[in-house]
Amino acid sequence: MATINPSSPSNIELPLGLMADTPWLKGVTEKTKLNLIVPANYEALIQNTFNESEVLGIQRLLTLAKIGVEIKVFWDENMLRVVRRSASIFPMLAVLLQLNKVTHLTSTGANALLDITASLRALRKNILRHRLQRDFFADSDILLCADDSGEPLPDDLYDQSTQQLRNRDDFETLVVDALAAQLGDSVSRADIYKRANALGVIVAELFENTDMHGKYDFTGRPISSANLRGLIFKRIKAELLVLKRKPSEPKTRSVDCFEVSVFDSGVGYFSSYMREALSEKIKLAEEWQVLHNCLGRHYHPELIDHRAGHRALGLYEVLRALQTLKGRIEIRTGRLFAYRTFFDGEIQAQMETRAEFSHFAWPKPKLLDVEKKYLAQPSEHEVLIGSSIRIIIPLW
Amino acid sequence: MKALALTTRFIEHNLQGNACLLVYDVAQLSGAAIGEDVRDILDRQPNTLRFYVLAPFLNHALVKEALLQGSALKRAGITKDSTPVEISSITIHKEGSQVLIKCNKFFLESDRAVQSTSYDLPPEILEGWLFHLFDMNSGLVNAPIGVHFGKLSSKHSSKFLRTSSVLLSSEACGAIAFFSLAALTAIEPRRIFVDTAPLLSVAFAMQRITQINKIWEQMPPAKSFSSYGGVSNLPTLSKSDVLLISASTSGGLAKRLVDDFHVDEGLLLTLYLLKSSDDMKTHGRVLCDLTGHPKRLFGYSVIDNHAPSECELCKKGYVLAQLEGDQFLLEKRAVKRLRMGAASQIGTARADLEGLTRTNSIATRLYRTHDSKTNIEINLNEALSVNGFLCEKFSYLLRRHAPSAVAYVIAVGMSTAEANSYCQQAGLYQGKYKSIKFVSDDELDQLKAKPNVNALVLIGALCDHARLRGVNVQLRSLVDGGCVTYISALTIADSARNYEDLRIFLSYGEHGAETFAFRSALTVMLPWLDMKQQTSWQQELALWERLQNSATLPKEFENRLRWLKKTSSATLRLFLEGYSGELSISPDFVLLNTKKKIKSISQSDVYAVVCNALAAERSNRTAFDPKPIREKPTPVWTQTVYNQTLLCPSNFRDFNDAILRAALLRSANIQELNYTIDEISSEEMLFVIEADIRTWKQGRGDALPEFLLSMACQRLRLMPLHTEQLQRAISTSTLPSYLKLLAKTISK
Repeated sequence: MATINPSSPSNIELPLGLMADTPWLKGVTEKTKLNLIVPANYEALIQNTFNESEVLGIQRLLTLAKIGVEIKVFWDENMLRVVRRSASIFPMLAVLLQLNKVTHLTSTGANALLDITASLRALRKNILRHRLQRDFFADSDILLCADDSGEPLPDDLYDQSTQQLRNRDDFETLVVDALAAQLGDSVSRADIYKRANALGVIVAELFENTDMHGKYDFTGRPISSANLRGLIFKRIKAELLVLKRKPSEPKTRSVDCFEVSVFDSGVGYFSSYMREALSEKIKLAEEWQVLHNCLGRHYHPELIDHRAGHRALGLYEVLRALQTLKGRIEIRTGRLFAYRTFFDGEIQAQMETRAEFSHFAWPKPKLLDVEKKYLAQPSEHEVLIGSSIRIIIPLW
Repeated sequence: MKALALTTRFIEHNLQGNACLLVYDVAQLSGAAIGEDVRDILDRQPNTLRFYVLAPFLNHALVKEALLQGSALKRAGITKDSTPVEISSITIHKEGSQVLIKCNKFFLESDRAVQSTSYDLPPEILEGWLFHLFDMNSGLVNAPIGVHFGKLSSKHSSKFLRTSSVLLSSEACGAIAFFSLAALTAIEPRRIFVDTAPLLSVAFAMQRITQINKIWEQMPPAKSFSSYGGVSNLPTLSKSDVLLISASTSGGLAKRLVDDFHVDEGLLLTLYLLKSSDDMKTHGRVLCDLTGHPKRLFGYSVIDNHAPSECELCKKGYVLAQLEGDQFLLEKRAVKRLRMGAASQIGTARADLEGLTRTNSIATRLYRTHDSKTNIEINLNEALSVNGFLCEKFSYLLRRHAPSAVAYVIAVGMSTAEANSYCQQAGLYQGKYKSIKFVSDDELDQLKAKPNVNALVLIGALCDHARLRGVNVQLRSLVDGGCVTYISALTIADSARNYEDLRIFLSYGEHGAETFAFRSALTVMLPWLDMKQQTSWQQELALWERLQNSATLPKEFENRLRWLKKTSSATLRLFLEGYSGELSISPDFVLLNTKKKIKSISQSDVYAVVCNALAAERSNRTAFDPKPIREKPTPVWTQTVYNQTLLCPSNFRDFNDAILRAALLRSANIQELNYTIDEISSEEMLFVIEADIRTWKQGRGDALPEFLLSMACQRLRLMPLHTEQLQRAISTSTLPSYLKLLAKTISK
């Protein structure tokens, strides 16, 4: 492989280069040239990345593509061979392969580079035709919709005869199979179905949102260039605090978690809701309010809802479902990065007062800011297109 | 007999006799009842050497108690070693990852009944009982001479298996469910799917049995998917779903479920199988193989299935009785032909549309959005302007019906400033504006409730009736006891019935009808979009993208693709160009007056007019006024099990106006263009399109690109034979290459 300096801002090593903080993204323009490096140890780097979100990395990648950055990808030849066999188990790379105007290069030895972009055409098609591995043999799996590619939308998400989104029950089925494959006989089937029911509703809602708001711009025109939407299932490990631990026990325990991520490269929550572009003039507080209104209708009644048939995600419902699953949600859209956690041992901010005779308090329908931790006030991040939502639930 | 008695022959070493299964579904199982049934069986069939007692819906302890304390053992004279007769109860339980069925032998020891060891039930005995159950209920249906059956697997045969004939009692359902549980992989299923509705009773029985025996923690829901015909409507199946197939002779359905839906074979169970050849195999598991073979004491001979093209019975001239699930479909679905013309413009539709068109107010939204009922957008700015054609009527309605004093004016589908200006234009509330609060319907929840004050609701173009219903519900508590008047500039409804429902909802209150007033200056009938289908432009976009993905797109289509990508709604360029360019209205157009400003009539105007005519025809030409009569049956110009509505080919034949044809192709729904079900209509459509091919160069076939596009998008569908004929005609014609390419993409 040719020598590339990974410390240079123009050289980004995947996957962590896009998953960790990217303050440089603010300065990127269509004249920027970026080299993305897919290293030989990519598989090891992507495993168990609880603190870094892969879907956020994907959203950054899509933002770069939308800006029109000239991207060159330098593939380690061994890693390329692995990806060619099964690209869909590497979500970020699967997305990278779908981007137009990206040059893919690999080493042919003796420091010579070979342009392999044209040869990846069949692989790109395979990614779009992929179906989720029902036995969930790999640690991650992605379904990708490229709306303007001319390829049919994934069979697992869309009815092939009508190209309409499948019903909610089908989403629950995908979750059931993934959870059943993950948990095996360690928990009762009834318990799996109960969790899948709660999680399936959330997944269906989230993906339906991408179908409604990720395909067309706020004037109703199809979003054409680099328009990708996707659903990712991942198996990760998280370090959670041990509750009621004995002094001899460690403070944390490693817990297997199931991660579901949904992303789109549409106009984002703000533009979809307000039917205007997100500009610097828009106050952060207003964007924050709009996000809450998108998630729960009339959270801020002073904002006029332009969307008559608007079907909000129902933040309250999602948070309650997550509370029962003891999970965590992260939402990244525009300049906002919000989250809410119900992990064991983590401080539960923004809760209602516990009612008498009730075992626990319900959450207020508010999101918290990732940087400010326990505050429901936004901090500004670099503008990203579309939206990404990451949900993590511990498996026991 | 209290029990359902099933009997089969068995051979055990030198012993040969009958094995009888007694199945009970009773609230109280008494030993006396079992005793009497054993006596009756022995009277009728003295060679019965084995009795098995099964009460699938009772706890086994009750069965045991009935046997220990009852007279059955005594009547059969069963002692430990002295008699070949045996009585056993049958139990089910979960052991690790298996559901096991065990037989528990009982005998008399010093006149006391005792339970002995348990043992496995021989599978041949089980299949013998299930065969008896099937046979005694005539599950195998033989066609009378001169008739044969067409099955959903497309095979023809003189016999078919009807499992529903077997499921006539809860005992029968219980027995089948009981043994089915042991045949399946022992995981708790998430859902149960059955191929025909009668099997739902088996699913219910499974739920009862597993609850009583603590095998499943929850009761999974059960759904029927209607055999082959419904397979395509199955949801995504999970590896945790149980699938029950009632009967099979070819294994085709099981194969499809495994191959296409990746069903777990351990959870796929065919209840009854009758092989079509000795070496036939089927996917999944089989509860009872009905096929006889030399080593068996029961069974039917293999069934003869014929492919339709090689069917011996068809060659003999035997009538084909088509099956739907396990029922006969005696009649082919009738075809209703939807005709459209000037008479379709009912009531004041013609005059209303004459007013709206030519003003550039009607645009067509190309892509379906989740919040729109129709893809026709009507901008009322011009119509409501001072000299606009709606201005006078809207102002009159305001003056005539608005309450004399109001506290609130609610603007729906218009700004509060516009609402204010319309009130002033109508001369309402002079000098009182400071005391009136103008709000939009989104702000209603911020208003304080004021009993006995009046409100005026002003509506622009109303399409989302639910939105106005929401306003109505909020106002009933906000201005409790006050007068509320709803004045709409334009109300769109897909039928008179729909409009009347809205009117009644809005106006009915504590003082009966007309408690509140609802008036509309203009009411237009337009069809609602089918939320399960893409619009024709969405399908067109997908087609060009697909073609571009596989080959270079001709420049005609590339331009079109570019336009579609950058357009959300349009008044022009809605249709593909013809030989002479953009499709435009011709002087003999039937649905609008072409003597008046013909050049101002846009393509979107024509599309809206055609949509209106189609909506009227679909609702049996019932106009908004007079009121529809509720007692009248709902018009059936929709798709039902008994008939299919097709857009009559005469619409295309009689109206040779290319723009009208194009608008019809775009506004009809897919089922209305599915001519594959009717040979005559399909042929008529073929002739219409062929005529366009022949006259293309004379400029008289300008709708041809739209016909071909509609077929390429699988909206317009002809019978395969006619599609082939059409493609041949195009390939040998002198049509331009881009149209030939389009024709090639049509799938048969």
